[in-house]
Amino acid sequence: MPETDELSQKIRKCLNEGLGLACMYARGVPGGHVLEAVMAGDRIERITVRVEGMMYQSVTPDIPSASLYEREIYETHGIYPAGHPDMRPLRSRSSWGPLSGGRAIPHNDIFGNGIFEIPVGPIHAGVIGPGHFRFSVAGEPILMMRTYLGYSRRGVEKLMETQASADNTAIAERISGDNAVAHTLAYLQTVEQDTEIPERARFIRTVLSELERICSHLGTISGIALDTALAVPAAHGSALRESILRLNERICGHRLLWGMLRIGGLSKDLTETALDEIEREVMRVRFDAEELVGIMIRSPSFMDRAETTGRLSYEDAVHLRAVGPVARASGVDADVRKTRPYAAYGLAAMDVPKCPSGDVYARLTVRKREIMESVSMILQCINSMEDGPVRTSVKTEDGFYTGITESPRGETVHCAHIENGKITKYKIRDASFPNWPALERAVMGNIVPDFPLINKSFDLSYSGNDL
Amino acid sequence: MIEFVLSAAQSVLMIALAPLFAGILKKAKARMQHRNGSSIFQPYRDVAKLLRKNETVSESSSLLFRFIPYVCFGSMVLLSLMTPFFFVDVAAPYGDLISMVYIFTLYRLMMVLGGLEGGSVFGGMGSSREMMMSVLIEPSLLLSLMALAGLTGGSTAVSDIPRELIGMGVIVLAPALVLAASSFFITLLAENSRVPFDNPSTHLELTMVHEGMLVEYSGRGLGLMDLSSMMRLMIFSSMLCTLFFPWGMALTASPFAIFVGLAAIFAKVLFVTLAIALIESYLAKYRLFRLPNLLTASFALSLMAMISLYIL
Repeated sequence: MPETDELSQKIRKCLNEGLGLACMYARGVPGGHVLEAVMAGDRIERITVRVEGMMYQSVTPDIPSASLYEREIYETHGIYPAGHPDMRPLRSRSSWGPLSGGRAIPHNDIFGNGIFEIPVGPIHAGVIGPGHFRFSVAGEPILMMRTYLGYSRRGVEKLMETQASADNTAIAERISGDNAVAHTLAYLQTVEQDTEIPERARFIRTVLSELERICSHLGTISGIALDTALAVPAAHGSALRESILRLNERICGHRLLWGMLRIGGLSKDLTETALDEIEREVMRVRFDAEELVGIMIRSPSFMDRAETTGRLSYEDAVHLRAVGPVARASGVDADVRKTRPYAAYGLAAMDVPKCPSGDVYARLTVRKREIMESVSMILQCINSMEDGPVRTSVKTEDGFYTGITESPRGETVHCAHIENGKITKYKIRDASFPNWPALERAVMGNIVPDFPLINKSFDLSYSGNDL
Repeated sequence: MIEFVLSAAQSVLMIALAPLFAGILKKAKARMQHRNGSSIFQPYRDVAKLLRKNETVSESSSLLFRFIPYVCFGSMVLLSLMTPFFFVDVAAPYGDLISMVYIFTLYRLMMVLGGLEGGSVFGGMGSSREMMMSVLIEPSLLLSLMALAGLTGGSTAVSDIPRELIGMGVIVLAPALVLAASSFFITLLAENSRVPFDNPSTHLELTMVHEGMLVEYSGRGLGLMDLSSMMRLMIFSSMLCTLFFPWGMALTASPFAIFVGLAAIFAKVLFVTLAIALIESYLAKYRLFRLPNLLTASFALSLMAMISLYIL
């Protein structure tokens, strides 16, 4: 199998140049398959390797961040990565499965006296997404945790394979409902390609995307407070999030900002009064959020829970290529808005908050500071906006296009192959997908009752991961 | 005769008011979070609804599982007969402080067995955590009650203590009483699964202690278990308010004394309830392995009470 050493070498070369593996998938071509790898950093590099037969040499032993993608390729296309160290089922199930060839969930690969396995989920006591977790514990400390997801799989990628001119924003918004703007912007990048979008539309897109981030981060901060039973800040945080949701509804008619983005621009312009209202509301939220986090970190009992809990080391974050606030809380400097600006991010000054410690407290701090940055960016955009059109016509060309945006949860990748005006292959990689294995690393050595808190501080999406 | 009627009436009143104070606690917490919260009578409706429903019982459980709610409820009824409320005499003056502590232990043991019976993971985790805490709660609970008994002349009989304390006058407000009462308050929080020991309103099955053990109960069984845990909180609060701070209790059966006794106990239990609500609003739940520290502090407080009583 010589052809795939080629894959490993090509990926390795890009890694050495400072790029990271953003996405990898298989694509059927006449007479076989090709493996596509998208490397992203300060530029985007596409690697294409043809596979002969149904097996190739796995790249995971060399490049750990490829593990998930190779498991996914096996489940969707049946191409086996020989030498892969961890071929547990990713999304398919033997009893129930949207993908054929489902396999049973194995026991954790760990043995010894007094080691117990705790299966949790997919149905949970609270109203959260469906996910199955297996904890191997010795008493309370967790020795190993494995996640099994895929229960909310809907086949979104297949639904996106339409005429390239068709407006699929309504589907893109539903990939991960609370990251709708980021996903839709990524989709729009793949179909708008090099079209020049009117400047006003780009500014408004940035404002919407930052509103979404504020909303998502407030929800996470409030959730962290709730999981430590800090009831008053939790209620305060939910109220703040609700005020942004209501603002969203007033300005565009939907609490999660659905329906605003369209191919070529926006479905409607924002009036001056709406912009004033946004400005007022985010200023208020800025101070309230600062106060909220202040209340939390001034509580010694909270800090005792948050500090050193669920630590993700810098090395692990880099090896698994964690993205978004999770990676930045472990000291990784990665933000698509800064490295490859889209919409109007190139026109606004921004700071990328980082924190070196990688624990729950670091993720809380990064989120708080991102809210501050978002508010500043919204104000900059509103101030530099000028009147003008918000929509233009788009001509979609054939070829391979990527759309990469920074959702509240991190780097979101969309890849589209367009042939004869039709999308023949569409690949989505939500920010949560590479962060789930990072969660598996971060919980090791912590105690079981701290898992919900760590999980909340990661704030991962089930529907975005399951697609 | 009238004394017996009064003491029986106070037990009934205690059982009847337990859900009300649970409702007040919830309401107070909601108000502190700027929420409206549900009505203070909601726990009555919840229990009434659950008692009307059928039970679903795990196939892997034995007959014991079905009996446990009745044993738990029965032990709480027994304790309410042994605890003074507004009147100094109790309906069942046969037990003393030590037997009360071990009836609480019986209740806990039954709940732990019930948690294990269902064969679910969360029941097992809740039970193991409960046993860990119980080992630490018991000595400090016993020691604080012993300090109280020592202060009042060595009797552990429940109905003697309030009389003695009131008879001793202001001098009784010695460090020993305050220390023992503080220690007892910490064990009250631990024993009743309140923040920072446990989060009674959590939805996270992995962090549960008390709720984890109840996860397999439904219908009538759950209703009885919920009612029992409300009664347990009520009994603990009344113990704090009548044994440690008995002032205002009715010593005779005169109408005026009874009126004052009722008013005093309402005010005191309400104060304890609001104090719990305040703690639950401003404290995060402690890390599980941090709880022994807090219980050790409670033990140290009651030990200091003992020392100040006998050595100083």
